[in-house]
Amino acid sequence: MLMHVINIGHDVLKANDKLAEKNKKFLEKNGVFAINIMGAIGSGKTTLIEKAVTKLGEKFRIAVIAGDVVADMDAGRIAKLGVTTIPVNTGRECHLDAKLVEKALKSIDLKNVDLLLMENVGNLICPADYRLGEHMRVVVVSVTEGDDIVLKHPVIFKTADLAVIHKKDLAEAVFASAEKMEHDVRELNATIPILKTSIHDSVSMEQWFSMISTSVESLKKG
Amino acid sequence: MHEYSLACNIIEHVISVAELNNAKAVNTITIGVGKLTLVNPDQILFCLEALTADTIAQGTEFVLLDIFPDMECECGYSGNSEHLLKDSGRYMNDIMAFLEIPCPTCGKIMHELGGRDLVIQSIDIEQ
Ligand SMILES: Nc1nc2c(ncn2[C@@H]2O[C@H](COP(=O)(O)OP(=O)(O)OP(=O)(O)O)[C@@H](O)[C@H]2O)c(=O)[nH]1
Ligand SMILES: [Mg+2]
Ligand SMILES: [Zn+2]
Ligand SMILES: [Zn+2]
Ligand SMILES: [Zn+2]
Repeated sequence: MLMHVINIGHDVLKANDKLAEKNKKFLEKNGVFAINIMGAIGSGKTTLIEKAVTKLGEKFRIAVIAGDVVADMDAGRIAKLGVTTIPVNTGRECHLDAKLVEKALKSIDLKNVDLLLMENVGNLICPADYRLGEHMRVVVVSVTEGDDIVLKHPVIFKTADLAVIHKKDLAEAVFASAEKMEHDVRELNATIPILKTSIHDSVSMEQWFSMISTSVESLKKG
Repeated sequence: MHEYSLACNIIEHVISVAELNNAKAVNTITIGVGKLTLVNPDQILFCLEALTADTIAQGTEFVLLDIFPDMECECGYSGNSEHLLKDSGRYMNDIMAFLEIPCPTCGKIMHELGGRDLVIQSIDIEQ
């Protein structure tokens, strides 16, 4: 019997990163700007996507990937708005990964898309570890999760490109402070843009739309 | 439970390397886990063990090694987080601790280089 040690050095998370890089190149080749919308369960991800699709639909050709343990419900809501929507059932998984996105991209006519919105599974933990091929990572939390939610999940706020503190209209009712949450995000990430939003505050919704528009246009300009 | 899919990726890769090397059995699988990787060691171990049942890696010993990221400061200082944390006396399993290490020369909060690893380092096989 021969014993033998084999050095491998294969990183299973970096394998995902590599595939994500490939997805990103593929998206760029087709002129698509992609956003990964992560966030707590029920924080308002689908709602923010619906609003963005409605508002920005004239300006950009939009497609949506709706990832969830059971994806058809959110996908149904978005498809009603008349944009290409691909439900991605993650089954037992609590996040989208690059492989699932690679597969979903095959069923989208990317040549006719400017903006791809990807709703991740409601979860502030593992989506942080998985790149999908996105150009921008958004994390959405709402005041109803309690205003210590940010500090409990430092990694996702450190690695995101935009933080949205949503449902600020409910802050008082749930004894939470959107300002404290903003402060906590700032402590974790000195440069990240932070929006405090509510669907009842149209000014904040405009900020959300313009954050997306500016980012898409910055890619187009190169 | 993303531990399950990661464990699947690990075992798939291990088995393919083992088979390529005509292994009859896999005695040890050594896995490096970055201190900032969001996996639960008990959960991943449980999945790994379940997934190796009825394979050539059945009964294998899993060795999980911590990988401490290097830290870097704007001022140019760099060092490994393991030493820096030991010196500061902070609890090393707390992810926050790695995000708040002050620079020993200038006091600014340093940033980490990597630390999100989940790497199959080596396997020990019988041929
Ligand atoms: N009060 C208030 N409610 C909101 C706001 N935005 C969304 N909601 C409500 O919050 C609930 C959850 O919103 P969704 O958009 O489904 O949240 P989600 O993050 O997509 O949820 P999951 O995909 O299940 O994780 C719905 O009942 C929305 O109507 C807001 O700004 N204020
Ligand atoms: Mg949703
Ligand atoms: Zn997950
Ligand atoms: Zn998970
Ligand atoms: Zn320094």
